[in-house]
Amino acid sequence: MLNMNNVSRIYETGTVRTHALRNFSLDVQEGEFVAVTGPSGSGKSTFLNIAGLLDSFQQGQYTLDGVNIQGLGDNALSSLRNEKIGFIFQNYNLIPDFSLYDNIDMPLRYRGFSAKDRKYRIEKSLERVGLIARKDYYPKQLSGGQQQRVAIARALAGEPKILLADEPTGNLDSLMASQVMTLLEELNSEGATIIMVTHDPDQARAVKRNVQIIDGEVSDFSIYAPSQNLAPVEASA
Amino acid sequence: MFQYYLQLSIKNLKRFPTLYGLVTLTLAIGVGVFTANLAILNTMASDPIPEKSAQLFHISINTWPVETNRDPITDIMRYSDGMALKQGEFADSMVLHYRSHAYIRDAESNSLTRFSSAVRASSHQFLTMVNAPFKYGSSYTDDHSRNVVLGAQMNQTLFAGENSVGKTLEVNGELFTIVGVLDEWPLRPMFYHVHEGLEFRGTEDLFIPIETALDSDLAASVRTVSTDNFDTMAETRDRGVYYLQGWVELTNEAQKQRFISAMQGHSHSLKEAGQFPNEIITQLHDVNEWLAHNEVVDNRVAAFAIATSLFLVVCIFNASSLLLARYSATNFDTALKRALGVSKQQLLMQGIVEGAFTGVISGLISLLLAYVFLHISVMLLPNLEYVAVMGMDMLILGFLLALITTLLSSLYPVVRSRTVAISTELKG
Amino acid sequence: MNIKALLKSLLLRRFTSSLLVLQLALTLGLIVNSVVLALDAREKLLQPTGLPLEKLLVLESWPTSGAYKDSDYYRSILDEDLLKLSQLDGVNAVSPQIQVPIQNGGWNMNMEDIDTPPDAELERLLNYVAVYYSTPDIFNTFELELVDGRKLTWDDEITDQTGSERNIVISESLANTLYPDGAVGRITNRGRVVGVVKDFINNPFLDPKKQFFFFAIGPVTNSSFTQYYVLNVDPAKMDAVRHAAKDTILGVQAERDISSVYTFAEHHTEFFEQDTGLAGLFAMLCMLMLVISAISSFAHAQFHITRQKKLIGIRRALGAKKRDVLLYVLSENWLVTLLGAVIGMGFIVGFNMLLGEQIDISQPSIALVALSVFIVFASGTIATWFPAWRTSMIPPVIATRTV
Repeated sequence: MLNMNNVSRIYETGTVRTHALRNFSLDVQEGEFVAVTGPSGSGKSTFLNIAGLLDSFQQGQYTLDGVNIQGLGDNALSSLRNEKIGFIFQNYNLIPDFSLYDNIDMPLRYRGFSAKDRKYRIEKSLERVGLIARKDYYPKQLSGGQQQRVAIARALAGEPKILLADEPTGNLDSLMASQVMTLLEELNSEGATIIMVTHDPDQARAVKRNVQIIDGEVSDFSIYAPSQNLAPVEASA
Repeated sequence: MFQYYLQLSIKNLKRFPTLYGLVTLTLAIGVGVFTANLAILNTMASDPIPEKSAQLFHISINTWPVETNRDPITDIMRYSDGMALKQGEFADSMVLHYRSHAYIRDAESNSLTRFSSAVRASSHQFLTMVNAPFKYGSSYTDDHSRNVVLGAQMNQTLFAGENSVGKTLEVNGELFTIVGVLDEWPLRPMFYHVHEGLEFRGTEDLFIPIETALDSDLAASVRTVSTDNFDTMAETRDRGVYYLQGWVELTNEAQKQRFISAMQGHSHSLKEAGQFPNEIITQLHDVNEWLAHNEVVDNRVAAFAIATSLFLVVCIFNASSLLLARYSATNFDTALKRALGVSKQQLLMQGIVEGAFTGVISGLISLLLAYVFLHISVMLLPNLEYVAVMGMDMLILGFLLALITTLLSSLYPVVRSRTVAISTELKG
Repeated sequence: MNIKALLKSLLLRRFTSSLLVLQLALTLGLIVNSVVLALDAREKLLQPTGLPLEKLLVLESWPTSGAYKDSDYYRSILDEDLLKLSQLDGVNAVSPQIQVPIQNGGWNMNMEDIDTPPDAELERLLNYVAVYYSTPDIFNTFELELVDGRKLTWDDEITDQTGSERNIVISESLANTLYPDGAVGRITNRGRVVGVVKDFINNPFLDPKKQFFFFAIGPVTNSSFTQYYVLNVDPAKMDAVRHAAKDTILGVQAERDISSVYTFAEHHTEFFEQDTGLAGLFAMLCMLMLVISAISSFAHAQFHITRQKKLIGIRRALGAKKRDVLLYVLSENWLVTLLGAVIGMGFIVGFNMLLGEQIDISQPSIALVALSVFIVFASGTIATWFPAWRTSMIPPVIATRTV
């Protein structure tokens, strides 16, 4: 599903060269739930930006769902992002002026779906997260946890190949956080591929596979026993 | 997709009402003032008779009989000069005319009220040559006849706009017969007479055969320069009185050369007779050349045009700054859209649609303001009264200009907003 | 005042800042030239005319009946017109004329000494000497000042003499041009000079020191031309006379078209209305431009509130007072205006040259430029005041907020 091979992301400011990611390799199979952890400044955000096609890299290869993203122009990358990836942000990032319905509708508009098709998808995903009754509500009328669930619905509506979650429970209290985590686990058991960036070790522990990034380098390991469905993964440095 | 872009545009306009209000108003004012001034310039500079303007020529010839250092008088000529040139192959393609003034009334009317009217005395080929539009009847066909043609407005005043062909007209106490009535004839500029500020005052109320006018002593109400005294207009036939304008219709280059030869011939024969000691000047100007030569376009309007152009530039700059602020304010939305897979191109399309939509609104307002400014212009420069018209072509131009300037103003802001740093925006 | 910091802040918003600088430069260029136009127009209006403008009333008439073709008939009506008009309360003098001063063109003849050889070249302006055929009252109507010789009387009325045998009075500049050693007694092709009067402005478009005109006694009674009656009236009685004049004439003989009645002051103003009108248009544009530039300055200053809250908060947290922040935002606008003024100098000159190709326009004085720069500074400061104040109100606590 997602394959990064020796990816390096270098920032140059004046005379200083910073390697945000260094010879980074990662292979994520379909149906996996991966937690990416690491101290602040380790490169987690950089990894997520590259994975989400939001940022470029200087060395290495990245293949997403069989598509090598090297040499793709902005239009192609945007389409890929739109169709294959579902983003879930720490601060939900819902548009305050749009209703829940319109918020989920927004990325779908750029896919060329018919109005009927969009309506079906929006309602289905809102039902999945349990908020169909509030489809005409506005984000500020909902709690943090509810807003995050809407954000998840938005990510799901386009039937993406992979969900990228950036500290999804970072702004939520423990009750709502566990609700959101439960939802994510449910989705994974239904077959969704999820990569979640988190600094919460408890959350990381709840997930089968952990990838740790320290100083831009990855250290891939499973704290717990690997899933029966998957082949064992090699550690690479 | 376009519909969605339009929906988003409307949403954005509602979101930033003051800002968009200022943008549309600024551009509307800039375009409005510019268009109003341009409309005036356009009318002044337009070709009044495009179908013939290259074939009608004003005759300029110097025949002053006394040696002098005063500015050569070439635009007007004497009766004798005119008749000398109006001969042979040019007898029918050349006309002489002058402007006069008379008090006229319907001879059969009970009321004795006489109406002040501008009169054009001319050779009988004149009205056909200048493509005067007839509503009823036709032109007089003889320079000595007592047949006359009435202008549209005077016909409205005297006969309530009815067909007055055949009726009798009293002109300064004498009786004439109406054989033709003109349609509305807004000739701007009135190319056949561009002196004395008459070029935009509208065409005459009465057209009368030239010989009859001279015999009826209809005085020239235009620039007259003379070397001899005279008491009646009839006397000007053989005296040194300069007041007539000559125009000739020439259809090809060969004809033109022959006419110039004729003019030269006349000048030389005067010289040989010892009647013309000055410099020979013979010129033919076609309609557009004549208008340019006489600087029919008011320099003041041209000067103001420079100012309004600069003003428009300032307005575009202003709108651009405001739009930049507007797009900066929505950097979050843009970043989110980018993250969710909207391409830069799609964002550009959205910006264009929004710019066009705003442009339509400012276009409509600008047309309204253009009319207001047109009125203000006339109030401050009253002699623009007859030129301050905005035809359909100007309205369309103004509207398009508003549209283009709005798009131009949004160009840089939209392009810049596409390259917003996504991750920093979304982190907050 | 940290100029470097100010410049840096401006460079952050390169686009808007440069736009604003250009706008201010253009505004300055327009303001200066507009004021020049207005001053030019005003100066033209204030030029002394040598005529008692507030006292003169003009009445234009056309005979509508064919009877006026008879010169004697016309003269009899004219005589009675003049009598009746002079009897109106407040009227000091009346004279009939075929033209009035303050005009471009009119009735002109050439004038030269009778002994001038036929092939001699005449000074150009001597070809255009204005003709004033009237009654002796014209001297009182225009309050003409005699500088030599005598005024004309009814004894000098033109009868059948040839041109050079008539008695005429000429203008002072004409006398000095034709006869620098003294004009009285000399004979011209238009008549014998019996007197010289001080100039008045006949044609404002010509050299004010060369206003050539002459007077002869002999009112024109030709029904083909406009007849002007000029009245010298006590200013206090002007309104009353103005209302009564038309009816007085029509009371004598009604078959006349009184096309207009106006005071000479109005005539004078109207003569220059092209110049004043254009100045007006430019002034209007100026106002608009100032307003628009003010809007831009306002929007430009808002930047601090919308995009730089945290930075301002940090400054305040580190010890900047409200006054310092206020001054900071204002100085930004002052710097932009200064840059605009520098570039504006070029626009002032360029614009002046461009306009000069189309119309007559004086060059701007240093004082005027300085005043205009001040106006632009002032309007910018006023426009930026509110955003500057709002920025100074940003609380320091913002520096530590994380949300």
